[in-house]
Amino acid sequence: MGTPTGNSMQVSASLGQMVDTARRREWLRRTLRRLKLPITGWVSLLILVVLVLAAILAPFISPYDPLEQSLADRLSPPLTRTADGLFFPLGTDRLGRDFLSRMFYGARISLSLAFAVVVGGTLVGVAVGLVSGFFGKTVDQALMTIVDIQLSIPSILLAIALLAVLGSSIPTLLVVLIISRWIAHARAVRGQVMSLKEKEYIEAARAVGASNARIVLRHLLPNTMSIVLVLATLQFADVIVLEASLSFLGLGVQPPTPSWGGELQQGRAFMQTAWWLSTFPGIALMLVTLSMNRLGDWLRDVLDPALRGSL
Amino acid sequence: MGRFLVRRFLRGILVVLGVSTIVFGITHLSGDPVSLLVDQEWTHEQVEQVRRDLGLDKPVYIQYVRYWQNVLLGDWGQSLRYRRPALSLVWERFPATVELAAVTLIIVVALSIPAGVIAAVKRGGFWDQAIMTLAMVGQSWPTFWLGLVLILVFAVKFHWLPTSGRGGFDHLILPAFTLAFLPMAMMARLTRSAMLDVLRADYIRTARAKGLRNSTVIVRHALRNAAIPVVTILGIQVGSLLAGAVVTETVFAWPGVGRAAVEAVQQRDYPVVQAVVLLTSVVFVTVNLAVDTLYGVLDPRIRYA
Repeated sequence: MGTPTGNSMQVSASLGQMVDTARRREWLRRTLRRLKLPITGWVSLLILVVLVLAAILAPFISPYDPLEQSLADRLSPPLTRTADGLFFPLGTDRLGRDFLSRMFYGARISLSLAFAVVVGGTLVGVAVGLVSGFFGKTVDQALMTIVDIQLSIPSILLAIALLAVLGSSIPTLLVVLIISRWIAHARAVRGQVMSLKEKEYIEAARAVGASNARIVLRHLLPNTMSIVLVLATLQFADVIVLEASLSFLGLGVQPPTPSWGGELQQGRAFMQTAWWLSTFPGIALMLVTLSMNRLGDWLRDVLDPALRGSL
Repeated sequence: MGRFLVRRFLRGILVVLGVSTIVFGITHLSGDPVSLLVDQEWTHEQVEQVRRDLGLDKPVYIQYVRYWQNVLLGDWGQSLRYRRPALSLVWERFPATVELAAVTLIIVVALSIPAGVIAAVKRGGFWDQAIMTLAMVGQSWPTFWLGLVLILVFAVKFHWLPTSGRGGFDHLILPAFTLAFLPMAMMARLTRSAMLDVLRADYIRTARAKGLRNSTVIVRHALRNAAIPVVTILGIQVGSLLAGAVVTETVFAWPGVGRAAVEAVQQRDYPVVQAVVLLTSVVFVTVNLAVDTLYGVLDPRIRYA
C-alpha cells in the first residue's frame, strides 16, 4: 500500500497532465485559428524552403564542383555557354569556378552555421535565463552582471577580438557566434520566468511537492517557448548577417570554402567588371534575412501579441 | 535621483572592470599571450625579453593585478606596429567615428521618427504600408552589401559622391546613410508601435474632444508620451554607433575606431584590439548613463526608485 502522500501526488500528477493536455489542445486550436499567414508570409516560407533545399541538395544539383577552377573561363557573365559546351547559369568567379555551384555550397555553410549557432545560443541562453529567473538573488545578480558586461561590447567587436586570438575555423566561429547570441534569450526567458513563478499554478505545483527541477522543466520552461521561438527566428537573420560580416572582414569562413559573406568579399574587387559576384550573394543574404524577419514578426503576432513592439 | 545615478555609476564601473577582465582573459585563451605580442621574425631572446619586460613570466594572478593597475593608470599597452601607446592610437581615431555617428544619428532621427508617426496616424493606409515595407527591407539589408551597392550607384556610376575615405561633407553622405539604414528601420517600427499604444489612450480622446488641432494632439500629446521607449532604444543606438561601425567603416575606408580594430587584427597588433574593446565599453557605459539621466528630464513621473 502506498503512502497517502504518494497517492495524492499521483492523482494530482495525472490531473495535472490532463489539464496540461487540455490546455495544450486549446492553445493549439486557438493558435491555428489565429494562424492567418499573410501572402508575404507564404512567399517568405517558400523562399526559405527553396534555399534550404538548395543547401541540402547542393552536391546533387550543383552543375560543377564549386572548387574546380577553369582559368580560361574566368569572370564569365551569367548565362555564358563556352565553346566546349560548358554552361554557367550565374557565370564564373575570378578563378573560373562555377558561381551557381558556389552559391549552393555557400548556402550549405551559411545556413547550417547559422542554424547551429541559433540552436546553441538558444540552449545556453534559455538555461541561463531559467536559472537566473528561478533562483533570483545572488545567482541572478551574478549572471545579469555578466550579461551587462557583455552587452557593453558590440558583438562584432567581441567576435573579432576572439577570432584574432583563436584563429578562424568553423568550430571556433561557431563558438564565437554562440557567445555573441545567448544574451537575448537569457534576458527574455529570465523576465518571463520571474513573472511566471509568482503565479498560482507554480505555487500549486510546489504545494503538491514538485521539486525545483520539475517546476522549472515541466511548468516554467514550456511557458517560455513562444518567446524563445520568436527570438530564435529573428536571431537566425541576425546570425546570418553577422557570420557574413565576419567572412566579409576576412575573419569568418576561410577560402576556398564558399560562404555568402566570403563570396561578397571576393566579389567586391570586381564590382565594376563582374557585377554578379557581389550581387547574387547579396540578394541571397537579403532574401534569407527578409524572410526570416517576416516569419519572426508573424510568429510573434500569432504566439504572443503582447510582445509587439518589445521584440 | 542622486542616489540612483550614483548606483548606476558604480554599476558602470563594475561593467568596465568586467570588460577589462574579459579582455585579459581573451589574451590568455591562446595559451601564451606573448605570442600575440611579438612579430614572428623575432629571435627567442627578444621574445623572452618581452616576456620579462611585461611581467608575463609571473603567475597569472600577479599579472592580473598588474594589468588592472596599468589599465587604471591609462597604460593600455603598446602598439606593436607603431611602437606607440595603444590608447592614444585608438583615441586619435575617435573623432572620425564621432563625426560619422553624429551625422548618422541626425539622419535616423530626422527620417525615422516622422515616418513612424505618419505610419501610426495613417494606420493601415498606403503610407503605413509603404513605410513599414521599407522598414522591413531596411532591417534585412546586410550593411556591407548596402554600402557596396550605394558605392556602385552613387560613386562609380554617377560620380556624384566619393567612393571612400574621410574629407568634406560629401564623404560623409554614403557611409552615414549606410549606417543609418538599420537603426532607421528599427526606430520607425518602434515609433509606430509606441504611437499606436498612446493614440488609444483616453487623454488623446479628451484632447481631440477639446477641439485641439490634429497636429497639436499628435505632436504635443501623443508623441511626447511615446518618447520614452523611443529614447531608450535611441540611446542604445547612440552607444553602438559610437562603438564604431566596424563593417561600414571598413567598406568606406573610414578612418574610425571600428576600422582601427579591423586593421589591428589584420596586422596582428593585439594591444590595439584590446584598447578598442576597452574604450568602446567605456563609451557605451557612459552613453547609457547619460540616457538614464535623460529619462528624468523627459518624464518627471520617473522617480528613480
